[in-house]
Amino acid sequence: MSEPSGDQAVPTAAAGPSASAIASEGDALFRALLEAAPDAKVITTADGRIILINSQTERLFGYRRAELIGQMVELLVPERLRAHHPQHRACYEADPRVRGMGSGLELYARRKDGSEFPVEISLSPLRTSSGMLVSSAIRDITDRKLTERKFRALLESAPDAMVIVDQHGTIVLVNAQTEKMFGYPRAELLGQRVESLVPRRFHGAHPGHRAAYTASPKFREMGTGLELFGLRKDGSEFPIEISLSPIETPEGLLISSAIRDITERRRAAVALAAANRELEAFSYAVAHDLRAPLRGMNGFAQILADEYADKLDADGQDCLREIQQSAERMARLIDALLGLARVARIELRPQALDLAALARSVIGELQAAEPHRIVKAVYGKQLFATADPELVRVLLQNLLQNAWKFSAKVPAAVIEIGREEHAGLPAFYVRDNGAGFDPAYADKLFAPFQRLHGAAEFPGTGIGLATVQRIVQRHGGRIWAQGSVNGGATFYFTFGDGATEHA
Amino acid sequence: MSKHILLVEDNPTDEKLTLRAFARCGIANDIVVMRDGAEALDYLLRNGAHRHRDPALDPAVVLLDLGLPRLSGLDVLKALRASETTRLLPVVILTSSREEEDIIRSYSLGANAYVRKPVSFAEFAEAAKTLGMFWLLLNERAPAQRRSPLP
Repeated sequence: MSEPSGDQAVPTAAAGPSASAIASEGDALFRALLEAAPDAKVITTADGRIILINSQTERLFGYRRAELIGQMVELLVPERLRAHHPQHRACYEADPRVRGMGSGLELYARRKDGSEFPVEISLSPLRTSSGMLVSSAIRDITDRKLTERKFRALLESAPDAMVIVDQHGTIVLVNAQTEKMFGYPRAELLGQRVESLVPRRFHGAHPGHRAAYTASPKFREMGTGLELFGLRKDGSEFPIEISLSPIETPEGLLISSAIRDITERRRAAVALAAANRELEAFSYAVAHDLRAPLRGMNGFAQILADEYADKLDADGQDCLREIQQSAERMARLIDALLGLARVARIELRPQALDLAALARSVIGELQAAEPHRIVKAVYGKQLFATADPELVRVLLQNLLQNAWKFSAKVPAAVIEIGREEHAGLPAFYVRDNGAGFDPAYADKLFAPFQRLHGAAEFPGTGIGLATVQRIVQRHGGRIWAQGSVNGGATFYFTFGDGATEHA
Repeated sequence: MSKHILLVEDNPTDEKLTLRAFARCGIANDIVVMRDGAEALDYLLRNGAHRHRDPALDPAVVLLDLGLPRLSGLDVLKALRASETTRLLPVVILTSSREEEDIIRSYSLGANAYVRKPVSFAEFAEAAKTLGMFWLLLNERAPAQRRSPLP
């Protein structure tokens, strides 16, 4: 606190009768109090002569004690303000009581080197046997002013309209964005009720909400899940989003509201919803209207093959089979595309799952469809995850179906589902010892319609892995593949952080 | 034509296919076809052009497509369930759609079954045969509304 400055602990008495009187009266306690004060203390006679200071005053103003004692207090007042100062002193002398100096005004003091700094001063009269003295406590508020300036700069540069109100809902501070957004000049808002920015139909409930917030003030969104509106000066309304934060001040709790105009976002959301509806309608049309002609093609080709068999030779019969197979292939493609669209749009309902149990059931279905296949299935332990059961089933169906299909030509087919650590995180995998793939194309595996095998070799829609990838992505996870030609394939996948439970 | 099927289908190709599929199991002659929802409803509720239809000739089952001109399949179903004379009439939705929402809405409105038309004709013929056998031969209809007995 204190700097060594020789006689610092002992206020020096100046020459003059009243000064010596005080020096004799001032006891050790008084001096200690003076030195202990955090503020610079300057004690003057009623007519403005400095008789006592503490060491904080020396430090703050850059004068040595001896240079101040006996001087007029105006020495510490900036030159531009000195002329009026004696007048203010006279006023205080007429009505001496404890009060702040120049309340509401910005006060400045002057150092020895002529520089100015902002201060806050409180005055108290000291009655002594030798007449009234005035004690001033002077506090350097440079830091506070700086903080205030930073705060204001921050307030003005915020992208949102910032409105700060007190507990009674009176606006104490707004920024330029508020003026722009609501159409009021700042002066018209300060001191007004914040309800002037709220549409009339919400006025009844608003003070109650404010009281509730004041009772439990924390940073949060206003009216979560509700549609909020602001009211402009011209009476028009606009949709807004508000976040609230409490500001504790010596004058009590203030509430800061960051207000964002979401008209544009609302408009974009409406357009997006319309586009999505259109897309839904489109997939619905795909499902129905594109399937109907396929049914006709397949059906009449079949009828021709069945009922006119005697009029067609083997080549003709073969052509009919091609027509039918094409129609069936396209029907499968449509279904696969619809499936892809569906996994992209249905709501996720994650729950705790055992992937081994799901895989067993899928393998069971595959075995039932092709009873002649001999495939060894290996299920790892602890294959637990939190994910959407319907989507995970689709995922496993696709991966296991692939493994099943691509291992059809090896003598001892093995399909394995398990988990391994990858980069410290657990990942599930589905592995087979089948045809594999050229690792140069590993990235292309997941693109829709991308196929790495000829349709004659291994039939497929080219949608399956795209669907799997979409499912993994919707869970916030990742999928990747390893493999080599005729060396089998392994598909790794995760369901995002925390969804794959550690064993 | 004591027991027959009402097919409500607007697509002529599908109509032909369906009739052929039924023909394969010998029930082609027991099928009445309506080509839009409003006409089907008039037929079943004996309104408009069909107001003189003999109520004894109600179909054993209605095979109802969802995408129909004028009144949709679901609108027809809703109207049938709202009418005293047809609320117990068996209705099978026969459609291309496998959309979860269509299936749920159909059952919610009181459909008795939901069958997706397969693309493969072999499967379609099989489905037609099963449907015909079940609704024309196996299923017992709800009796016509009886008059209240005298007190």
